[in-house]
Amino acid sequence: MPNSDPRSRECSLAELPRGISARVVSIAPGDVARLAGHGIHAGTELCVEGDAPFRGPRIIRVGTARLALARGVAVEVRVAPRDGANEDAAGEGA
Amino acid sequence: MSAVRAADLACHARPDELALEMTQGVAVDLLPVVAIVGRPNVGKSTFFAKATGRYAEASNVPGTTVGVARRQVRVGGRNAVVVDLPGALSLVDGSAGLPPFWQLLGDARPDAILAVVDLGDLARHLPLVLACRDLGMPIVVAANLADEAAARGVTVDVGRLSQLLAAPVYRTIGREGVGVGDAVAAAVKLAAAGQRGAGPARRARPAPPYAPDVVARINALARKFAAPTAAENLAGVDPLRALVERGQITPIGAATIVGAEMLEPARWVVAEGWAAQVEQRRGGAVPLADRLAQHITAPWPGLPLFLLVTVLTIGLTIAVGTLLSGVLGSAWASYVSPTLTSAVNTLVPVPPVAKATLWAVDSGLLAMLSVGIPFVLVFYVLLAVLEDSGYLASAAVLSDRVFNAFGLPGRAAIPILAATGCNVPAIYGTRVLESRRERLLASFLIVLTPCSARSAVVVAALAPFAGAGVALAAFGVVGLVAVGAGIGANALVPGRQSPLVLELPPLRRPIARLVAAKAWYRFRSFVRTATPVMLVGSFVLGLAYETGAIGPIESAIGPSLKWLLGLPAVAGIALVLSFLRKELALQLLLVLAIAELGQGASSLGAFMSPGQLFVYAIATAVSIPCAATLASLVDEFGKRAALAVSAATLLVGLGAAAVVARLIGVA
Repeated sequence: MPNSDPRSRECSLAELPRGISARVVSIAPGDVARLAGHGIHAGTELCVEGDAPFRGPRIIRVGTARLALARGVAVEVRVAPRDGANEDAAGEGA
Repeated sequence: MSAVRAADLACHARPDELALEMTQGVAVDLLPVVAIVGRPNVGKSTFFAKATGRYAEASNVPGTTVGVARRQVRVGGRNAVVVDLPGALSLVDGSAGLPPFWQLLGDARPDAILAVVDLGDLARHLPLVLACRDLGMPIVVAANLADEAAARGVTVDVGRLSQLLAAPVYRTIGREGVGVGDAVAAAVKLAAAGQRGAGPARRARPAPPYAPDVVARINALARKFAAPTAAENLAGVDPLRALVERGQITPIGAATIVGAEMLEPARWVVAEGWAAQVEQRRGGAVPLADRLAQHITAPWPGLPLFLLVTVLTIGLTIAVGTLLSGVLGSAWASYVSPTLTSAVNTLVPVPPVAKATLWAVDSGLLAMLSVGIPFVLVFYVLLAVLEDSGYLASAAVLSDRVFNAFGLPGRAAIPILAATGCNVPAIYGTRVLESRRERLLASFLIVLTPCSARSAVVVAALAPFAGAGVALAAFGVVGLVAVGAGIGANALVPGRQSPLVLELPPLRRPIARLVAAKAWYRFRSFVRTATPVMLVGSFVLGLAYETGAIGPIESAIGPSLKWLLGLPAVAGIALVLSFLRKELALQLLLVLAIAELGQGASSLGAFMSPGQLFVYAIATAVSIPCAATLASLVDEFGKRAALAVSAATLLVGLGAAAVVARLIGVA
């Protein structure tokens, strides 16, 4: 079930492994406006496509768009991974 | 619609000049106004250029249009004014140091909005259209980039989209001009109808597609705009109130701006739903360009490729530039120079003035020609190719961490790369940065970056007398000085860097015609800024030299320079005067040395040791910006900031040269 276990699997976008789809849970107030214009708000589905070198910006795919997000912004975005296998395991936390 | 032709471009005023002309003209005030609105990099400027038949600055880099361009057009028998606004993510977007977008839009006083969207990416582009519609202004939608959408296997039911939006929708391909004329004509028609009195309040409005509670809250906000007495309760919304009172937007429209933070997520949800209703995506083959895009931002092969592109760009500029420069120089010497000399000598009877005039029109114009055309123009062509292909945005992501050390986001790479050609356009290029702090820090780095003229001085002073290795070492020292100064400036200047949030444009094949038009447009503005400075500077320099006024200056600065840098007095005067003409720093030194020390000084090696030449090269490469650079700094940042940047550069340049002089035992 979606939202069955919001706490245990949540992480920041900076920590989200590449290639895993995730849903945005919350964004730190200071970055809400900056990201809203790019279509990133609570509920948005996204996926990390790659990372620029030297711990540079994360390359995020949101729908059809590719965005580069500095890590300083990525840590302010909380996401919940949407992984079929994990979802079953998360059931007990409901 | 006429195409953009290079020949067209040479004889038109810049958009900002036009803006002035037009807003002052009473007749123009009466024309219907159409504002072009859209997200960054959706092709508004290209669209605008096609619509008005002229080139507007546009690239495949988000955020190229920083000013506002207005042009008069005639479509379908109607005269109208079309306004190209900078790209916006939302109406409350206030990046690039500009006021919030709704205010720019309001200042343009549009009678209708032409919203340009990406047909292949409606879910991301419709929120802005919805926001415009919420204002209560008539809108026409140009579903642009239809060719790219088709290539990605996206098909859209444009009729259904038009129904949902309750607005006309036209399928367009801006770069080829397909559908542009129809879309503009429709917008002009709507604008003219709006002008005839069907004000926003009287038009039938489509029902808002948002949840009932959201609508109720907006309506509550709107009541405050409808009742004049409650105005003071809404702090900071005075310009908004003015828009309502002028009848440009409805009270509800004003409320949607105040309540933007609540509405924006709702708009994205509606947009996603509508996009899903009207589009069909054929899955499967990812276009080659998309697969490539993923690779060029990855460490491998992205980083080596980035290095290769940088080296190729600079190398090609120098190679082609040197070749062209030689050809132009010898052609000038054998055909133009003799004619000019005899003409000036006949027309100007006073010998010193005649000679000074020749400094200006002969050697001054030649310098302009042999630096400007070969180096600057060639570099602009390469830069335009990189921009339009979409590569520069990827380069900005790759180099983000490097520039973070200087308090800058990766996109500062663009103007700083340009600075190796000429500092003047690079300083204007800092407009791609978000804050004034970032723009000033980048300008400081730019001024410390040797332009092609200064690099030529370093090479010519060192390579013959001290060896190519020493010339290379000088560039190494200059690089270290710039890095150190940049890090220092970031620490000293108060404020924080804004982190990078950048939408990566898809890779596109650059169109030769657009690349040529862009390079030419920028080259013209470079020529406009630099030529007068070059002419006047050369004249003053010539006059000072020919009348012997240089002597007193020399005896004034000679001793202190000897102490600071260990250089002979002639070198000091050449350094000071190179403020006017950087590329003359070397010739000047020779000419002055011959005048002072006799023909025996005809070679630099005869009166300066390799160590002194090294110090001289470093001081020339970094010290003060040239007059043209200073002029552009004043133009962009005002006198105080320009002086601060120049003073900091002078301090760093002389300081570094003094340290080097002591390290190698010259002073």
